[in-house]
Amino acid sequence: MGRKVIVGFITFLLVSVGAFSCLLAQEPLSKRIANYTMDVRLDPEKKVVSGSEVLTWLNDSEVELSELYFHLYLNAFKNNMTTFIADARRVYPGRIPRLKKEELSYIDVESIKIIGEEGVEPIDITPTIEYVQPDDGNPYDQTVMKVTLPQPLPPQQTIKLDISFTAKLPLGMARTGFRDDYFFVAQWFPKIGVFYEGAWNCHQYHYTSEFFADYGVYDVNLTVPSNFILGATGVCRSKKDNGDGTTIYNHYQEDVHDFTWTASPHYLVYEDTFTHEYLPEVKVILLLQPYHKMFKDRYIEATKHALRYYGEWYGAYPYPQITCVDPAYRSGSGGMEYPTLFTGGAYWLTPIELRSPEGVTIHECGHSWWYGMIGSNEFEDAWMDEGFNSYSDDRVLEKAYGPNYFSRRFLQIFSIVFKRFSYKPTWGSISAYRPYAKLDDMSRLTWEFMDGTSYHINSYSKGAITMWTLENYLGPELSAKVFKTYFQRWKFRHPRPQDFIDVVEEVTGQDMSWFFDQIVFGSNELDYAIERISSSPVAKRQGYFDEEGERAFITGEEEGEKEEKEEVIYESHVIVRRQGEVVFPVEVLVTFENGEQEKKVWDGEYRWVRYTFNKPTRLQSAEVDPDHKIFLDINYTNNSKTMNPRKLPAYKWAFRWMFWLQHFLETFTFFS
Amino acid sequence: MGIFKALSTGIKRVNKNKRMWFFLLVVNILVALVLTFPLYSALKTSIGDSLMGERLTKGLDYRWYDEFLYKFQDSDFINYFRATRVVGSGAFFSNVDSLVTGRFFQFGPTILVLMAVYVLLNILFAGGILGIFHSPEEKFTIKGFFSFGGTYFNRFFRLFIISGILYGVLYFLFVPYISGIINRIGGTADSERVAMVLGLIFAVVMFFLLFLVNMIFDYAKIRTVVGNGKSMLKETGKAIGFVFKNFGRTMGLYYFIGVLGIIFMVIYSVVEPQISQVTPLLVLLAFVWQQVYMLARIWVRLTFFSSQLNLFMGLQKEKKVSETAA
Repeated sequence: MGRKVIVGFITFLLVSVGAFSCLLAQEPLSKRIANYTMDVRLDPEKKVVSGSEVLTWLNDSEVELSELYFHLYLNAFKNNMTTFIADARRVYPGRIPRLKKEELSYIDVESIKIIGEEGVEPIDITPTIEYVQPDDGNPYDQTVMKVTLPQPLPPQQTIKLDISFTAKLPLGMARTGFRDDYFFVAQWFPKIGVFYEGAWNCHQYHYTSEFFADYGVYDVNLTVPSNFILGATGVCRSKKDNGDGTTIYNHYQEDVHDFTWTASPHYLVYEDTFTHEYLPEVKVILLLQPYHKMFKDRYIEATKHALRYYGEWYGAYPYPQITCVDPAYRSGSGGMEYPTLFTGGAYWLTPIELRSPEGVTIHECGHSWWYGMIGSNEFEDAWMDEGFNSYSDDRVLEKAYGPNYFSRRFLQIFSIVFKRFSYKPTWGSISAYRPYAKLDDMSRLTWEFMDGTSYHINSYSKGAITMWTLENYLGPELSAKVFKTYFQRWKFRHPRPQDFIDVVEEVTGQDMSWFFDQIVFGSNELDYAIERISSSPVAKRQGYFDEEGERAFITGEEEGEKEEKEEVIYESHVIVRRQGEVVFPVEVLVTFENGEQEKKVWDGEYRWVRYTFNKPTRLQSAEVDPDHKIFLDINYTNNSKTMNPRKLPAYKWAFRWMFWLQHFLETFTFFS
Repeated sequence: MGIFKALSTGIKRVNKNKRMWFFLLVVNILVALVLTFPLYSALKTSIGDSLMGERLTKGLDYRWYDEFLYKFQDSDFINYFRATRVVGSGAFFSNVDSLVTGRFFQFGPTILVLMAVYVLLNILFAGGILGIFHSPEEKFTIKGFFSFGGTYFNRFFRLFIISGILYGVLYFLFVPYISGIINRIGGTADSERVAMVLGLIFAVVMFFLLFLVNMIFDYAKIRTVVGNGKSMLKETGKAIGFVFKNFGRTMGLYYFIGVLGIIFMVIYSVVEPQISQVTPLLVLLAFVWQQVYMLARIWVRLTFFSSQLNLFMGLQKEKKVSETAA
C-alpha cells in the first residue's frame, strides 16, 4: 500500500512538473508591450467610469524615450471644436453629432505616477501632462496626451505607471457610450500610443478613423451594479458580490490590444461552443436584447461560421472565448470589433435572406483576424483591416449562406425578398466603388480622404475588390497560401502595406509591384473593352502576281472554281482596348461559329491590341476577362462583343419596366 | 340592397362591356409606351452587341444592371428601372408603398407629368364609364363614352380639386405629423419594434383614410351622374352623408372589391415567375400575362364604379319605397 502511495505521489509530481514546465515553455502569442491592470467602477446614474490603471510598458525601440503619448479618445466628444466633431462637419455635413451637455463625454487623468521598485516612493509626473495635436494642431482637441519622464527610458526597459482617471461616457456616439441603463464602454481609458518606425504613432481621434495599439495583457476588475449583466474582453475569472448592491468582475486576457466592456440589466445571456475537427474549441457567448430573442440562433450560427472559415483559411482563433453583443436600439454601438468581443446589429422582421444580422456578425467577428490578431494601423492603412475583412466576410457569406437577393422593405416594415435574381455579396462593393474609382488613393490616412464616403469605399469596397482581383489573378491555391502566410507571419504584430506586398511576392515568386503601385497607391480606373470585331471571307486574289517567274494577271474568277471545292477561309479581327489608365494583363476569349475557342493573353500595356485569325469558320464573339476575374474593371458590359447580338433582352426588360409603369399609372387613377 | 347583390349586378354590367376594358387597357399601354420607348432605347444602347444580351435573356445580371443604373443616373425616369420594381410582385408593392406614404411626390418630373396626364384622362373616362353604366343601354360605344366623358369632365374635375385638397391634407399635414410622432416615440423607445408597430398602425390608418376619401368621391361622382348634380360641394357633402349613413354596406362593398384586386395580384405573382422569358415566344407570353393582369386591374376599377352605382341606386330606391310607404 505504502509503495503504491509513493509511486502514485511520484507520478503525480512528475505529471505536475511536466505540465508546469509545458506552461512555462508556452511562448506568449505577442510581444506584450502594453500591459494593463485596472480597477474601475461604473456609476450608472452619473454615467461615469472611474478608477485606476497600472500600465507596464516596454520600450521595444532602439532609442531612449523621454516622452510617452496616450490616447484619450473620450475627449473627442467634449465640445464642438474637437477634431472629431470638426471632421464630422466636414465629411458628413448632414450628420453632425448631438452636443447636449449631459450627452457629451470627457476623460480626466487625475494623476499619473511612475512606480519604482518596492519601497521607493512613486514619482508624480502629473504636472507634465500636455495635450498635443500631432495631426492638425487643433488646440481644442485633447484626444492625445503627452507626459515627460524625469529620466529617459532606455531601450528594452519597462516602465510602470499608475494612472487614476475619471471617464464621463457620452450618449451612445461613435461606438461608445450609454443609452438609458445600457452601457457600451469602449475607447474609455488612457491608452498608450505605439512607438514604432522611430516615432510615436498616436493619432488624434478622427471621425473616419479607428484604432491602433500594442498587444499586452489586460487584467481588469470591473465594479458594476449587481443587477447588471456584464460582458467584456477576455474571460471572467472571478465574480464577487460586494454586498452593497455592486459586484466586482475580474476579466483577464493575454495578447490583445484593447479592452472593451458592456453592462446592462436587460441582456439575455446564451452560451454555446464552437467545435471543429482540428480548430480549438471556443466558447461563444451571446448577449442579446430581449426583443431580439428570435435572432439568437442566427447570431450564434453566424459567429460559428466566421470562426470556422477564418480559422480554416487563415489560422485558428487562439482565445478560449468570444462574446457577441447585440447592441441596444439607438445606442450607436452596433457593428464594431474589439478583441474577443464584438457588436452585431439586428432589426426586427428581417428575414435570413437579407443576411442581417449575419453579415455584420461575420464581419465583426472576422475582425478578430484582420485587426485583432493582425494589428494593422487602422488610422493609416484602413484598407488592410477593413478591405481584407470585407473580402473575407464576402467569402464566408457566400460559402455559408449563398448569394444575395434583391429586397425592399414594404412600408418600411415588411421585407420582401425577390429570390429569382441573385448576386455575389461582393458585387455591392463594385457598385459602390465605381463612382469613386478616381477620387482617392486607398493608401491615404483615414482623415485625408475627400469625404466620409470616399474613406468608406476606399477602405472597405475597393479594399475588398482589390483582394478579390488579387485572388482571381493568382488563382485560389496560391492566393490561399498568400493570405495564410501573411496571417501566420504577421499575427500579433503591426504589418504595413509593404509587408503584405513582400509576402505576396515571396509566395508567388513574382514582382507584384505593378499591381499594388497602381491599385493601392494609385487611383486610376481599370477598364478593358472589346473595341471591334469583324469576320469576312478572305478576299480572292486580283491583279498582277508573279507566279513561277512570270507575271500573271488574275481576275479573281480563276479561283472561283477552287472555292466551290475548298472551304471558305474567314479572316477575323478582334481589337481589344485599354480604356482606363490601369495596366493589367488580361485574357481574351475568342469563340468561332463552329464552337472552336481560342484564349489569348494580352499584357494589357499598349492602348489596344489586334488579334487576327484565319479559319474556316466565322468569328462568333470575343470577350476580355471571360471568367470575370478582374473585379476592379469598372465597366463589365463593354468586355464583350458578338457578331449575333440578341435583341430579346432589351424587349424583355423594357416590357417588365413598362408593366411597372402601367401598374403605376393604374394605381394613381385612384385620384381620378 | 345588399353588397353581394350590388356586386353581382355590377360585375354583370362590367362583363357586358368588354370593349370598355380593352379601350382602357389600350390607353394605358399607349401612355406607358411614351416612356417605354426611350427606356427600350437605353436598354438597347447599354446591351448593344455585347454578350450581355445572352446573359440578360437568361436572367438579370447584377453587374450590368448596376452599370446601367450608373450610366443613366441623371435620367429622371430610367433610374426607376429597379429590380425591386420590375420583378414579380415588385410593381404592386412599390406602387402601393408610394401611394400610402406619398413618396410618389418625390418621383422625377417626367413620371409625374405622365401620371398627371393619365389622371386627367381618367377624370374624363370616369364620366364615360359612369355615364354608360347609368344609361339604359349600358353599352359601350366610343362616341357615347366620350360624350358622357365630356358631359361630366368639368364637374368631375371640380371634384378632383376638392378631393385633391383632402388628399393634400393627408399627405402634407397628416403624414408629416404622424411621422414626426413616430420618430419622436421611436427615438426614445427601447427597441425598433415600437417604431415599426407605430408605422404599421399609421399605414393601416392611412390606408383607411385614403380609401374613405376615395370612396366618398366615387359616390360624389355617382350622385352627380344619377342626379345630374351641378354643385360639386353639395354632391360631396351628400356623398359623405350617404357613406356614413350606410357605412357597413359602402365599406363592405369597397373592401370586398379591394380583396378581389389582391387575389388577382396574388394569382399574377404566382404565375409570372413560371414564365422563363428565354425565348421570344415566352417573352411575348409574359407580356400577354402582364396585360391580362392589367385587364384584371381595370376590371376591378370598373367593378368599383359599377357596383357602387348599384348600391347607391338600390339604397335610393329602398329609401323612396320606405318614404312612400310612410
